[in-house]
Amino acid sequence: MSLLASSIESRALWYLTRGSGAVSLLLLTAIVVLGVANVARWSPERTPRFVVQRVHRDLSLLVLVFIAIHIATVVIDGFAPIRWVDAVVPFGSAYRPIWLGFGALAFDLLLAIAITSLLRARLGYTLWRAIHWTTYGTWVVAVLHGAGVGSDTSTPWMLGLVGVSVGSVLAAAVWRIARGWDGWEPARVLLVVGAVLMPPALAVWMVTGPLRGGWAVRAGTPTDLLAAAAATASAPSVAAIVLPQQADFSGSANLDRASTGEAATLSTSVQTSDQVPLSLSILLDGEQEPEGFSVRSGTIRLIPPQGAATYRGEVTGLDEGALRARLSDGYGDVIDIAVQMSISASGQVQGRLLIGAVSSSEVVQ
Amino acid sequence: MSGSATRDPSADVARLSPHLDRAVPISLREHRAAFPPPSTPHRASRAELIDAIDAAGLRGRGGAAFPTAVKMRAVGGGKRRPVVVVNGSEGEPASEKDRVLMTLGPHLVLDGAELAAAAVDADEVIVGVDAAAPRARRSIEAAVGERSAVARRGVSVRVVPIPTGYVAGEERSLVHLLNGGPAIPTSGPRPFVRGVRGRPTLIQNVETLGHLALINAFGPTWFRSIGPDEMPGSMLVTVSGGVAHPGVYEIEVGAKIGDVMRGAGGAPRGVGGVLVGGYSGTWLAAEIAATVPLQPSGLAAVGGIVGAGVIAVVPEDACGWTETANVLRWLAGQTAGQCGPCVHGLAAIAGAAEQVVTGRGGDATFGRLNRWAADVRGRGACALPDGAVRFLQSALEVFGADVRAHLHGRRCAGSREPRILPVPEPGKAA
Amino acid sequence: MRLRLDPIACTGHGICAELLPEMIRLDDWGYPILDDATVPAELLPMARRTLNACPALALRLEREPKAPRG
Repeated sequence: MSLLASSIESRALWYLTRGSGAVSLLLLTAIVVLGVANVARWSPERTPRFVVQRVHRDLSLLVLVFIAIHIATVVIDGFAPIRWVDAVVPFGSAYRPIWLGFGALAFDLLLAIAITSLLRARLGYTLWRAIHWTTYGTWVVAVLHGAGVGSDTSTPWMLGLVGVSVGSVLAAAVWRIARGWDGWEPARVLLVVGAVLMPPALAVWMVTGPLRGGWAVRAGTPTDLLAAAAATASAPSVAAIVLPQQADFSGSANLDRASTGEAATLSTSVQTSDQVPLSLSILLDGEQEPEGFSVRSGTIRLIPPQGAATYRGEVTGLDEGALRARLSDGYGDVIDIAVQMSISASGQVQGRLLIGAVSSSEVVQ
Repeated sequence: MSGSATRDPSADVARLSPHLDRAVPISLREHRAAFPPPSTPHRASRAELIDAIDAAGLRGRGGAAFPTAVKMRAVGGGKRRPVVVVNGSEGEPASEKDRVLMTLGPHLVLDGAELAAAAVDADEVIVGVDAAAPRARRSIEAAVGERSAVARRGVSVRVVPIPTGYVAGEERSLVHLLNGGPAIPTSGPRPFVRGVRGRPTLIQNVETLGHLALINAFGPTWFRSIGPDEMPGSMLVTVSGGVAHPGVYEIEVGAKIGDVMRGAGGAPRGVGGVLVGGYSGTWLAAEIAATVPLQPSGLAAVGGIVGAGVIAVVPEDACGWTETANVLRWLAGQTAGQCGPCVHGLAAIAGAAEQVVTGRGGDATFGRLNRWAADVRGRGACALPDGAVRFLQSALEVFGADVRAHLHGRRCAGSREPRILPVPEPGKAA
Repeated sequence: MRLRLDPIACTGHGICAELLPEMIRLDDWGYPILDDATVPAELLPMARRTLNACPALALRLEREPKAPRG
């Protein structure tokens, strides 16, 4: 079997997911603050109040666009097992069900808020106000989603963003409470209690949860994704070994077809026969076609002996039958590799591994 | 149709007043001795009853003077079984006629309520009475009790106390209260369309129902034999203030105010001004009041209303403006608190009026009063702001001299007199 | 069509006066005073937008009552 050239998707989608999620949180914070400004009848000097009202409304529609991007990118990317339905039906996903579920819940609430606001004149004031009141809770749910499911939670910029958002919404809540109530009194009590309890509760939860080691496991990340992460995390000593520039290898390959369609996974496990015995694990996702295996994406792990760090990375290209990848050992060492291989009908693999900065002219057939 | 031209307007009119000419409430037995039970018409004669009321030209005696037959036809024409509400709230502090009628002659009122229920085919009568009028309440409750022993026709009658308040007796406030809310007006549909528990509701003043019972007994022609065509019959008025014999009097509609005052013993201290209608009514100067007939067209010609039949005389040596400012402050406290222009406007008007009293106001205060009056009129959910503005503007006209004197720092002797116009504390009747 | 205000629902936000100053002005306390006249055709779209912008949904557009006959 031969490997067919195809376009390899990169992890750009995953970055877009995280970015659009962060922007959505910022937008939601701004929306809550502007909403309170509306009730408080505040507008900047020389700006009419209907402008503040309009910006609040427009940002609410904009955040829905960003959330749509957020959802679409994570589902299409496919790295994590998240389906379209998981975006609206909460707590049913295979990936961190509770924390992803909060995102779906927040999205559902936002849709309800947006629809009731657009149809306000027809639905009547009381119903609109009752649903609009859930915005405070929706914001909290969105923060829990972001902190629980995000992979950047512990980074300084993400912590800063969450901190600024929490501070802004807390200030807005205090402003709202100070304005007084003409309607349903329990709402005021709820908001006061929420405002008092939310920051410490959130801080405690973050410290004992997402910011403490092992969160990925406790949050419900599927085990195959965990193994990939664990492999990079568990490497003990940092002894850098000298990798050969080139090595031949042999081993076996296995083709798993998905239960429906043409998608298949080709997994290869090979060993080099040189002085530095290396294990190579190549996992390719693609489609089995009559002419061969069409590669869509893949990961490669290069496992040196004696507990040295594993290099892993993604397939970035396939040209002239050679897989290209950039691998990292998780400690800063990055290598470019090229892998040529052929697979026999019985599943035997033979090939050559080239390590280092490789240009296409050095690839030998 | 005989008019009032040949009658002596100051002669006593004795239609309702015989029922009031007593010291203790009438019992059912005594009442029935003089008055047969109202006949219970079946379907055909329901229309006849309303036609008779129409022919009699009966108009409401609660302040709006709305034709009763028109109201009944509107209520009875709906799909659901109506409710009748007897409005005995009498929120007008200077009026006592409804209280007196309910206390001394409850059975005449209840006869009228029964007839009204028959006319619109209602199965429920609710008698509202001011919660802070204990004698009236006891009397009407006893009367309802006496009648329940001989009740028929499946019409339930119950008494409901109404919290004291100027706006509590407004039609929509009553419905709001009876539907479980506070006694303040709503913006919803008019009660004759949808009222108590969603049913068409007929709300009638206590005195109106008394006249209704008399019309049923003596006929529309009899009823029209006195009073002008636009509002036939007699009416009860409460004469108070600087007259020798204040109290509730029955007069022919259209009697001149001056004659009514004479009938109450005249004004020994002279007349500085006369308040006609109530605190939503109009001040009239003495010479004008003397000749104005107490009927809708007569009062309209001088910018006033018949209202609740209040005639309050301010003596010449008292300060009409101080009385006005006092009442305006009270009215500002009587708002339901729902409509911004009324809540803020009446408070601002009362403040400016007080500034005039104490001499601290200048011409600017005067200008502000006029501007606020124009701004506030018609911008509330009920007639309170409109009434207050009418009250204010007529005071500015009638007591112009007083106002000018106060504006220039002279505080008059009259402003230190005890109050003529009653301004009850919240929760208390006058 | 005429503009109508529910005075109980109105809480004096004043956004209506910003959007339709041709027919709405504010009194000393921030509450709207409506021009009682018919809304001109060219202002109708703006009037509808004003209705939707009221935070308390206190504004309505009502048909003119038919002129009484006879």
